[in-house]
Amino acid sequence: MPKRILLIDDESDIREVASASLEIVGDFEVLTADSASAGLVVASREQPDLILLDLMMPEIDGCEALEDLKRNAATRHIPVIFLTAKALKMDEASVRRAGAVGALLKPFDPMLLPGQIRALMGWPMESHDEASA
Amino acid sequence: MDEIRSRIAALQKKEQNLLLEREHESRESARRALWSVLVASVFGVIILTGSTTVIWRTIRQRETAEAALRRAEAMQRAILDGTNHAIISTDAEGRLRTINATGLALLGYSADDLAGQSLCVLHDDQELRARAEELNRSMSIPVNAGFEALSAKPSRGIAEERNWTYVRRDGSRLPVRVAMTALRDAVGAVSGYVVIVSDMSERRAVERMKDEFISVVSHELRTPLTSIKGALGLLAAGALHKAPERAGRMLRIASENTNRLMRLVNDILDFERLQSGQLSFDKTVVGAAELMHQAADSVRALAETSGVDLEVRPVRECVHADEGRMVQSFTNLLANAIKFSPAGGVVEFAAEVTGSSIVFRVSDRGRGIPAEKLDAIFERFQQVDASDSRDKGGTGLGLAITRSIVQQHGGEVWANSEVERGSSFFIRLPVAAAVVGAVEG
Repeated sequence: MPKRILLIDDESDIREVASASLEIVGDFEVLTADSASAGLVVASREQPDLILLDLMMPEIDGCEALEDLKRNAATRHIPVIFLTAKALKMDEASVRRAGAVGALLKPFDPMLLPGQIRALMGWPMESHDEASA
Repeated sequence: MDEIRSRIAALQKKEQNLLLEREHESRESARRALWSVLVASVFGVIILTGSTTVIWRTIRQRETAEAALRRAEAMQRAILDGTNHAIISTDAEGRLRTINATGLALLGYSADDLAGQSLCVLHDDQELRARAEELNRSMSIPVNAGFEALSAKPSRGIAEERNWTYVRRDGSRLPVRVAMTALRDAVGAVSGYVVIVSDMSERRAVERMKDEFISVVSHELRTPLTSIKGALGLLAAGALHKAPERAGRMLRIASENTNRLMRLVNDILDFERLQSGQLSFDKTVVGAAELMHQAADSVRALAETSGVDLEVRPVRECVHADEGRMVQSFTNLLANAIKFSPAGGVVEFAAEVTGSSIVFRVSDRGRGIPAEKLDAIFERFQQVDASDSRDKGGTGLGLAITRSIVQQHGGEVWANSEVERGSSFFIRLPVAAAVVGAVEG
């Protein structure tokens, strides 16, 4: 069973590019949401293995969305990785304090993104051949 | 008898002479006494006058010296109070002696509040402790977390200027830069300190704004770059060779985001040049109608694609303007109005002469702008909705650029709006002396 990743990002082009990377290169199953509030609903209903969460979004930003996820009993166990275009790379301590597993910086390399996620999550690496098989 | 008479006469004469002599002596004596008194009096007056003059002169000199001292003190006080810096003096143990008016205003204290208090009352305790520990390590001498943490270096003749946090009387914090110098007496012993304090809150606020701007610009640049890099990265690696439809979408994403990035870079450069005054304006007397038609022509294709009608109602008067930059300003307003108009909607571009000004108006019947966001929309990266840069192709800098251009033409720009009813944007420019002959249709 491929791992299921929920990608929450308000930029439709980034959702499309990241989805292609995760599905084709990483052999993940990808769910998407265009806002934090929509993402909270999908996360609760679909119970993904991981949430990739954009930090700078209108209305509810990534940090607030993470707090909401951790407050909700149905979603608090789901690990979260920030996907951020913020100028300064978040240091590990502040990411952990926020309750996330890690943070990945935009722009990302679509061929490396799946491997970076597996490394942060401690998931076994899969070769592309295995994934395609 | 005669002899007796003669003797009596001689005696009488002698007596008379004697009397005359005595009277003369008495007169002489009286005259001398009078002279003595007169001389003494004159001398007395002279001495008295002299003494009085000396005393008066001494008093005058003292008064002059005191007045000079008062003037010098007043001047010194005026200089101290007139500076933007807080200036504090303390004794050798750090007890406050004086603080200027700027210092009192900055810290919210009265002079009585601080009289005799330690300079440490103005400092953050934690910072003093941290500084004491730092000095203990670096100077290898015991430094307590009180006044020694402040005076350790100046008291040893080492000039010190560093950032501290002062605590105002109401408990609020004030970032400051403090320069402290030791005063020494005739034998070189420390007799006190002079502390010059600069308020850093404004500079910190500017630094924060700069950091925020860099953060926002970085985010705005990275966002299209992420799409471009992701799309091209997948295509270049051949990851999409079995998904031609997806590959086609990736090419479109790369192309559109390249355009978005280009617009953003151009707008950032324009905005920064405007802000720093590096953008020169080639101003000529130009007809308002000509500017309006040029701007309308540049957005006509967008209006047609969006199914929006564009109505232009110019005036004959002229303005003194940089043609290209003013057309750019009108185009920004028109493009926004078209993008936020529903298909089948109308955008009006009208001008009206009001006194010595022309007021240009661009009105749409789009979604409108909430009242709380109306003032902020002319600030950089202050879109009504953060998704506007993506969905409407804006950079978040168009209105900020427009405002800057209009201001540099001696004009002003403002907006009225009603949610779900539409918005009107106005530009007011001074009328130039010349009037064009005709209004082109």
